[in-house]
Amino acid sequence: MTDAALAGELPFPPRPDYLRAGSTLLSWLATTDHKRIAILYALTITVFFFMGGAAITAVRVELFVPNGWFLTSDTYNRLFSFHGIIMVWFFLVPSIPNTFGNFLLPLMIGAPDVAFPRLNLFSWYLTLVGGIFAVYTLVAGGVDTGWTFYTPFSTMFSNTHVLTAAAAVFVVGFASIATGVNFIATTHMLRAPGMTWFRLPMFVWSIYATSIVMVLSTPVLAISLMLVIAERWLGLPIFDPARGGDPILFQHLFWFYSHPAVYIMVLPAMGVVSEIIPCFARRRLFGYDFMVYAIIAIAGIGFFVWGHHMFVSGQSPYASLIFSFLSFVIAVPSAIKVFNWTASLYRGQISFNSPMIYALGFVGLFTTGGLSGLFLASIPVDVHVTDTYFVVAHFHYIMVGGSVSAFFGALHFWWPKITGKMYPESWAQFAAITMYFGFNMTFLPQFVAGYLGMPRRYHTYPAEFQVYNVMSSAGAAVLAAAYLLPLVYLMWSLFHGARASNNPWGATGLEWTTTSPPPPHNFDLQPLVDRAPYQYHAEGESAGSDAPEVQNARSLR
Amino acid sequence: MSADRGRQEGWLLRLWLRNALVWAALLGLLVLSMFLAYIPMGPVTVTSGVAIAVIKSSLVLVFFMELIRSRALIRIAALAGLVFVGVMFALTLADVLTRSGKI
Ligand code: HEM
Ligand SMILES: [Cu+2]
Repeated sequence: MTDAALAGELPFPPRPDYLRAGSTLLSWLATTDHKRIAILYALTITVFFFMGGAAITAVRVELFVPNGWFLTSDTYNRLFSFHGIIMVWFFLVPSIPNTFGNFLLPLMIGAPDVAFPRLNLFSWYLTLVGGIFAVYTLVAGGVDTGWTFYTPFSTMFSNTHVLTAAAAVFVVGFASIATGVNFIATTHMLRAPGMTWFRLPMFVWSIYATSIVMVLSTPVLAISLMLVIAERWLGLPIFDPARGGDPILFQHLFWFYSHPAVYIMVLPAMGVVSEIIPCFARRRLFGYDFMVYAIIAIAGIGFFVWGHHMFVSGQSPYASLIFSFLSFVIAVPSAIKVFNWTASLYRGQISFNSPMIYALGFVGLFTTGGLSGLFLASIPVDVHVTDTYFVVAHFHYIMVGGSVSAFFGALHFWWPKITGKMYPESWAQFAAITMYFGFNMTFLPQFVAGYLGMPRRYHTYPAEFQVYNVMSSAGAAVLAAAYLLPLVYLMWSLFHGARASNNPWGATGLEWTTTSPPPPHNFDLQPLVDRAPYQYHAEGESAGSDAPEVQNARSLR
Repeated sequence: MSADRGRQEGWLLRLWLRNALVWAALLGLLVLSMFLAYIPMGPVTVTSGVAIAVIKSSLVLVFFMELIRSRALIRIAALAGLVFVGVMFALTLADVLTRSGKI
């Protein structure tokens, strides 16, 4: 608007933003606007997040005392299986890509929408269908295989609803593939004039890399679940050793998907953090090029390490050696990213707004999780701690401490853009800090319990582990409170929050040049890009100490 | 105008003909692989099955997915799929082929 006025043009006639461009239920359920689909996804995964959370709350209550006072072993198995399946496929995999990716990818590259808007909506409906299968599974009595569906238990022995659970994951997998294809095509085809590959914000790179992993790996998940169904339902001999099958083959197929899938869950979080840290340090992202290469390297090498989940499965020692070595290799690009985020703070003007607290929390917790991953990649250590709470702590540090923190960081960073409203900052800071401490209270003791030998997936345990479990369950209560808080004050902000300006943080990036909330097709004028991202200060100098608004005027043309 | 339409119809006919041929070939290979599975040939049985699978997927890739006349970027994308399937087989075989059988 100001640009147009400066150029001597007439102001645009008033037009509704995307939220007000239609208010019927159909205008939401049949929308092809990527921003509205993002909102649909956000509502869906929030429901799933609290469903998965409810299941694990019961688990933590059970583990408060050693003797299994609350649940039967069967119920316990079903609860942690439901938790894992929901949290992985119905929350974490779609979380950042399908909400913030959907909302921001077109905005960040200066496009009016994604490449295939209807496919985008279709993908949401697939998620719903998958979700219905999952909820049916629960209502019908649940599934007890864990999220990993290991054979021969899943194919020959489990008496629970394996078929519908596998169908749920199968269907939601196709939602993932559709989204991946869509985002790849969008990034290739719809970049604004001047938006060259090395001017893309890191978030776009991370969504692009994630999409490639989704498209290459998810079909293998579909195949491995099909094979489980084929053996369980049709009796085909595939994994049953008595009939010439190979039970370990399932683990190879499953982890060929699921190790890359852990990067599906964490790469978008890395993208988010790479946006937030420069903004609140008023600093260029250190080593942008290497950040890009590192993310591509992680996406690629992520396909070569899956055997580290199988060191004690009966895999040949020779293969274990190869996988162990390759797992150490993948830590290198991850470390590059951590060092570069840290270096981006150097000589910055750091302010601790809530998104920044989440982002800094991410860096620390991701590093802890990643380093414990290196312990696990070392075969002698893994033989000792595999299938213990050490592993549980490892991946929760990355997936919850890392990715979920980044999800909340993104939520607070882009909330003004998405809703046009500001939230109460002190509450947000309070929630962020509570979440950090609640998280550590919950999962730090699990490293110790696991190292001392407490196995995962049992509902009773020797009394000497009780102290760690009590700490963990108490921490979980704090964590749960911290997760509920944003629900309250963000809701409040929708009705009572102050109006957000176009660019409340003084951030670079095309999404901040349009109105908050953006119009249905994102930009009133076709954006033109003439510079690299994150130009928060002149090259070779430290961050300016003037107010963000002033710096912002300098950095946006 | 009518010449144009004639050319278009010719093109459509050829497209159908070509796809029908490829389809027939795929079905033929399917029948062949089924019969071969019942002939005891030792390790050759598996080899022949895999060979037929490779031929069939190549037909699908080249003709049905029209890689024969697509841009370089599209071909690279298809190649990526092939490479990563290769990785999957190679590293899985690194386990299967080196098991001692008495771990
Ligand atoms: C520095 C990179 C990493 C290394 C070297 C690493 C290594 C490992 C190893 C060796 C295991 C197997 C432990 C066992 O079962 O005995 C494991 C488990 C796991 N890791 Fe990682 N990891 C890394 C990063 C990640 C990331 C980024 C995520 C998620 C975003 C993740 C999620 C998981 C999960 C979910 C499991 C457990 C799966 C299960 O058995 O249920 N890891 N990791
Ligand atoms: Cu892994």
